[in-house]
Amino acid sequence: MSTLSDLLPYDDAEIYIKRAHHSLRPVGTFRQLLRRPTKLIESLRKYVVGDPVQFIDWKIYARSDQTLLREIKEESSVHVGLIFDVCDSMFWPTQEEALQLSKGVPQKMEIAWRVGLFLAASHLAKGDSLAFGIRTDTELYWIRSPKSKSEVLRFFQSLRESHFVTSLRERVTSPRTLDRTWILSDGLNGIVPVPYAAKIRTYIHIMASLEIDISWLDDSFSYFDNKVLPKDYTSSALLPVYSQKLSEWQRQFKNEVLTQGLKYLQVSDSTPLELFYRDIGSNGQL
Amino acid sequence: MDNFNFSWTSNFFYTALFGGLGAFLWWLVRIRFRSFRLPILRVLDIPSAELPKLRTTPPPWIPYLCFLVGFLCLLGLTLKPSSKVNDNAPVDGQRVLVVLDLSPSVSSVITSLRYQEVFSSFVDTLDGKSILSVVRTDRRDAIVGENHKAVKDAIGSIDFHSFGTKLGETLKHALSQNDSYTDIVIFSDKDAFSWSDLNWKFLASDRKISRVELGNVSQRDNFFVKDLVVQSAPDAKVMEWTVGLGSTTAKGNQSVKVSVLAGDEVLAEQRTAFEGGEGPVSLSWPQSKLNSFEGNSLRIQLDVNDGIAIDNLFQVSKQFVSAAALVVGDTGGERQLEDPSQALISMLELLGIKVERRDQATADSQKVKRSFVINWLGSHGRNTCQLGEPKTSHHYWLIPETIGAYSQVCDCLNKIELEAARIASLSGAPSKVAPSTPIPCSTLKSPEEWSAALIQHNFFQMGGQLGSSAESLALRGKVGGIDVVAFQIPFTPLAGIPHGNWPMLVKAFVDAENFDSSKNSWHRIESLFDMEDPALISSSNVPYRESALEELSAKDLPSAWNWQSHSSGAVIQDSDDSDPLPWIMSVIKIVMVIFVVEIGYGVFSRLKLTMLAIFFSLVSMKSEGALILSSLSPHPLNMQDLSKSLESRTSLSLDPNARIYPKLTSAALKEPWLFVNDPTSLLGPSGAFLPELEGWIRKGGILILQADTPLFQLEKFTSEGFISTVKKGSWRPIAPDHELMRSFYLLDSLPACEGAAWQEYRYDGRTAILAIPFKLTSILSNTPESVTCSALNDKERLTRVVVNLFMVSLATDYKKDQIHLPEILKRLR
Repeated sequence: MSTLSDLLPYDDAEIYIKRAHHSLRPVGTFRQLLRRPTKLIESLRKYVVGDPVQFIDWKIYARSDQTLLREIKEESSVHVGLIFDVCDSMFWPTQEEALQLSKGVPQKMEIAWRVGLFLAASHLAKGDSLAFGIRTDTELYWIRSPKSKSEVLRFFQSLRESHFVTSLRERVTSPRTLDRTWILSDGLNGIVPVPYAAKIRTYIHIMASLEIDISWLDDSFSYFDNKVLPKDYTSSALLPVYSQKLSEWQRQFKNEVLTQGLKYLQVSDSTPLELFYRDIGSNGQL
Repeated sequence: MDNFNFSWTSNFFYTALFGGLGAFLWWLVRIRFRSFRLPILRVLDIPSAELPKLRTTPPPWIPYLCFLVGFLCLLGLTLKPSSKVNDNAPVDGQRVLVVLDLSPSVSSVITSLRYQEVFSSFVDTLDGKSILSVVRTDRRDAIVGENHKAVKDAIGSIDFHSFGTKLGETLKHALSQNDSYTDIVIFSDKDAFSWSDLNWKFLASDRKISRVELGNVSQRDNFFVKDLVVQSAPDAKVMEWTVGLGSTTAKGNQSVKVSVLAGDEVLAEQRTAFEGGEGPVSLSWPQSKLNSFEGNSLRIQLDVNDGIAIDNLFQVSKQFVSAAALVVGDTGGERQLEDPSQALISMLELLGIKVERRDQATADSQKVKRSFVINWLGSHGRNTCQLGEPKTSHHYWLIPETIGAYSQVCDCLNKIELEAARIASLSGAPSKVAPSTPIPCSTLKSPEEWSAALIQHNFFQMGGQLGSSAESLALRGKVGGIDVVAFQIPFTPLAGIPHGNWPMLVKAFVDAENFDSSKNSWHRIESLFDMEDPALISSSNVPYRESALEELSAKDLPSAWNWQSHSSGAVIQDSDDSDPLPWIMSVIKIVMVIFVVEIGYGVFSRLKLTMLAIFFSLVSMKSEGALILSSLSPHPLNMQDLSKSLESRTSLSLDPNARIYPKLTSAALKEPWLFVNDPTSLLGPSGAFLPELEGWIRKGGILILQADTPLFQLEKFTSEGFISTVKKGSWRPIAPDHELMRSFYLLDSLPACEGAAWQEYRYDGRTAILAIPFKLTSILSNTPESVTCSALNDKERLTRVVVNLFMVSLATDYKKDQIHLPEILKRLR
């Protein structure tokens, strides 16, 4: 069964996505059926030497032998922000750690990129404009986002080549407005604050399957996390209480997310694709 | 651990060793748990208290350094006793008590001049750092001073005493004055007598004790007076003494001159060639020589060159030969016959006291110079208070004749007091003693009141149970300045004290009197601090054991003082219990043993389990057994078909070959069942069953008769055949609800021919004998007999019957058996 670790930006999920496309979706304060970005002519002016030649409207030149420049105003239906949490826990398990466990599980960051780029591609398909935010422990900055599906694919390809580790892209200025934000985080550092009053905000809570099911615990290891308070546990100490404590935290975290007016969706590398498509496509999320 | 040496090197070594051991253990523990990062733990609220903390994280440095310093201080303090031992010299401000043993035995090993030098050099090694106290065994007070030179001067010259104050006595006195000494240094030889009352190991538990060796006592021979026996009677004209000589040597022919001196006058002397060991010397002189002697003591002088010079002079109290007592007491009849006065006189004479007896006190009897006046007092009017003029130099013993005669004693006491007051007023001398109120003798009603009245007059109890003055032997005190012992009990067996004990008691009373102590006694003093009069000390003799020069071995003595403590850092043994290292070593040993046992047990238990697993996997013992059909018939039976059929239907297996017994033997009666074709073969010559068969049936055997026998005949068999209780059974046909019909297969009827019925003989609630009207075994065997009856051709039916029969014989009516009922009910609930 395919899981989220096999998710591609373009997928046979198109059918679900298409269905979603036909549903009413919110733009600003109203819903409209707008499926393509418009490229209306903003203005025409005479060519001045030094202007980029690709903006010359050659059709007008053919008709009237005049070199006129066409300045295009791009419009999109929705400004979408995808904010990736890149704190250290998102890069768990690292390759060495996965080797130690001899388990081929993807990092949470890989799932975040896969889900994020899938959402990006879907949004681009609907004529939305994108902004990629990177949230580190200290700051939130924005990187150049893909403008087209092919760019999404190239980005995805480069990520896959670097095992989803690097996200080095040039920084851009912050977007002026965001109608819709997706926050992709594992929630271990709390809810990522986003300084935009988007109408719809969705928190995609990314978890590793190794965190959900800890039957892989080995008694020859001790388990620790020294981020907040140095603690060590043995598997015999963890196993009896872990699942209860985890579900407690999940419930509490979800409540917190919902209280802040965000939608909540929890995924992991073991989430079946079908389930993901259903959840992401339903309720007008996309 | 006696020879456990300590140095800083070894301390460092042990610290490093333990540190290394700790690190190794840490590593062992650490390597078991490789750590793995699990970030989700930061949000899960899992209590960490119950979990082991294994990861090393850099410590918070300031608290850690504080801890480290604290730990090192603790370590230092823990090892402090060892370090204290290393540092032998007393440090600043320590209080050092020096005990100078000046007993006679020391004089045999060191001269007083040399002694002084040794002490002086000892004080020099202390370097003036500590507070020094010096106590000598011949003085009561310690000399204390921080100025060591002043102490040295205050000690003055060192000379040896003759009395027997031991080290323990001196030290006890010194420590009772001040207990804050940290070091005790004892100057002494190895003489056993001096050390005999000192438990220095006890003292060493909280202070350091060392000893300055003055020399070996066995270096020189010593001659001394061991004992003196006065052979002559106290009033004899010629005094005969036997002086027992002792020596520490057994060799040689030493010439010893023994002389008895009264002042400067030689009473007798004799030179003897002394062989060594022990030996007597006899001396005699006329007693008239003593009449002019006014001194207090006679002396026995040994003229010999030996180890201890002091003990060559042995002093004897003149009292020993001239003490006198007056006993006033009339027996009223035969004197010698059970006369307590006479008994008392004998006892006193044994003690060397001359005794004069008078029935009545006369005027001349009072003039004699005596020490004791003993007056018997009774209620018969014979013995009244007859003391004449009481003198302060006399001791007065007032003894009641009977237990209840205390009122006479009381009157006599009052009389003594009156007389004393009168004499005092006559002489015109101011009375030293305040006049006290006379005891109201007439009002005394019981010994308790009597003793209470005496105690009010400052009498004290002698003998008896402590604090219970009414049960005392006597009460002693002064009346008008005169020493009086008022006895509570007469010297008769009536008092409850047997005759045999009286001599010892009288000796104790005489000793307690001290004979006007300061002048007339001689002692071997053992405690300086009980003596009130210093004059006694000079008149005392050297204790016997002191002269005998017994020696202790070095292990019974404290360690020797180390003179080179400053330079060499040499070691003095410390006591075991103040040193922690033996304990630490013990703990380590225990831990090692636990470690080995733990690992050993782990390996062994795994080994054991493995062996058990191998054993059980290889040796799988199936619980199985086969039935063997046993038959009492002349023909062999091959039951192969039945066997196969039985194995395929049930879990039973049957041996294909039946056991055939031609006759009823004891072997046949060991079988659980018997198939019998001819019932008559079971009968003995008298027509009754064989008695063994009866017992076999009683024990549970099942007899299967395979013959068409009529019921009356069967009844005849059992009624005549059985003799005992088995006879009480009864024959009945097999009912349709019989266990044979349902024990395995449900049968509607049993096969039979021509209306013949299966019969059973029921005994003890079970089928004991089953009568089958045909030969079942031979029909079912591989070589069957031919049968005419069609019912018997149905082999399937017969097999079913046989299966049921086996089941019944194996389990009887197990469906009636309610042994499993509780379990079944439990399951149903």
